[in-house]
Amino acid sequence: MNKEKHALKVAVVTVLTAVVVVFTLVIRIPTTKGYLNLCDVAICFIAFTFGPISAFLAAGLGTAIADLISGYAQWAPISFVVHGIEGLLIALIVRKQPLSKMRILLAAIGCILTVSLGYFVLSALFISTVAVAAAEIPPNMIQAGVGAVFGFALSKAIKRAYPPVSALSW
Amino acid sequence: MLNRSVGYLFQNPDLQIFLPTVKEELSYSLRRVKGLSEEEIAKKVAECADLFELKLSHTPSTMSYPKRKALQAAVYYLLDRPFYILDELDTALTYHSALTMIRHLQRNGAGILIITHDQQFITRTGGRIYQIEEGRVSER
Amino acid sequence: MTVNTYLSNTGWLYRFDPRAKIFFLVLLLGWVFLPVTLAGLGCMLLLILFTALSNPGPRFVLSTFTSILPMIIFMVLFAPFNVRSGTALITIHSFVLLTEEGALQVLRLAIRFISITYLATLLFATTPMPEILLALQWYRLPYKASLIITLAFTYIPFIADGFAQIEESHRLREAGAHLERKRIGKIRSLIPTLTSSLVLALRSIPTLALSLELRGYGRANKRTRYHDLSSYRRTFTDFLISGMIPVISFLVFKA
Repeated sequence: MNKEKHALKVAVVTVLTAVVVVFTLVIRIPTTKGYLNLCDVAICFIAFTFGPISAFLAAGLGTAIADLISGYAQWAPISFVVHGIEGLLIALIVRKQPLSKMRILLAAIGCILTVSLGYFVLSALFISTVAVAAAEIPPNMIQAGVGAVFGFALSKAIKRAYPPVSALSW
Repeated sequence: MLNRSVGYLFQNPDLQIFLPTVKEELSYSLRRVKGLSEEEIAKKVAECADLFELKLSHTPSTMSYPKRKALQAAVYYLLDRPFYILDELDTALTYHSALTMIRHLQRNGAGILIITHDQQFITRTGGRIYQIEEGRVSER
Repeated sequence: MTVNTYLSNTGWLYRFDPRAKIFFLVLLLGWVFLPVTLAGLGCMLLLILFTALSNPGPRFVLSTFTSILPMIIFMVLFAPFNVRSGTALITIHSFVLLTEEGALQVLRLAIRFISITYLATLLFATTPMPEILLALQWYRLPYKASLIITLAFTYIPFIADGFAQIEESHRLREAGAHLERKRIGKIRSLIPTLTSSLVLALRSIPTLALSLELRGYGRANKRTRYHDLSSYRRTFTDFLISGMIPVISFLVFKA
């Protein structure tokens, strides 16, 4: 994308950030363990469709803002770091076209590891205890895995349903 | 129950469009109905596209607004509901296109409720006219 | 959906300069991790709670507490896993469930967690978001980031409503199709809804970009500002307080 397209770049990240917030807060799927939120679906979708910087910013800012709005401000910096890196990492992995199955699998694994380990380490250090943080690992892994699968599916669907999206990615 | 007998065409046609081609969009709802073979579906879809002047291979999200509106009407045409509510159909459409769509949807004797602000449009459509003034519904 | 983090009220914290507030917050967040006595941590928490009571008010204090109650319960329940050495407190059939050290550690971690929760939430409850962003820009946050955050907040309700409408309209379209098992049906119907919602959101991007350009974004001339933080008059004093309280309380309570 052109270096001068400042306004478009800002617009892209803005809307994507809002999308992440909405997917995190508004949409909840009831499961056996409580609720699953779709933030990782949104983040993976963005990482598969857009570039590394947009993915990093939208994922980090989006999840941080979602935490602020829902009254969990203490998690905001941790969410920013963990999900920001998640978006950045996946986008970097799938950046090179053509996309091989190996790469997609790698991205999914990266997503799951980043989210579960990231939250585990940062929660254990700053929020709670090692034991409590460890208990969060399985649900985080499931959510991240579901996110990777659906995010990839959505990315493919959107690229076909709305072809102009490729002109927006940076 | 009400969901099944009423087809509500929202003012914004983009609320329902999500598939890559017109063909897939039209086939989507037909597939959910049991008892139709692939050929039957394809035939119905092709007929419908001709009727509403839509090209099967086009991508809905990049079509112009009148065409997306036509696609929305086409989707509901295939659903064949007994009653339709058309919310502000005539916005950004020529009277001719809007009236044609209404006629298509009426083909099986379906009831139509048109919501509009356009007085001129009302004179061109038949039937009873109701107006809402200061919260009160009255017949004209 | 409400995107508001600010709770309007009066109190000294509301009149505190946001830049100093952020400075204060960062220092206190660090303070609770320092080697201070448990009594010191407890005093700090009491001070924080008192501030919360006298600024946003009791309802805020209660709602924040209920939101973190599950986590606190978990921390207490998982306490046996933390420290296994030391004098036993609770034993069941000669199996040591909880030691004195373990209990103290849980208490410390719980107080710490509650403190950082209230500290972080207080900042956003007593400062309107635009002023927080202005304060961050004073700390050299790039204007672009502040713009993105501000605009994102305005787009959130728009996209959320779009999603609600789309969900509704897809349901109306689907009605009449053979009924699926309740949960699978819900998940299956999610994909079309999500796709439509995303297309709707993506379509608004070029319009937003155009409106930004029309308002002069991206041009070379220097930008001017309408809002600023000049209404806060006691900036220096606020910074002084923000610096002194953590330092003094550390000297008093250090272990």
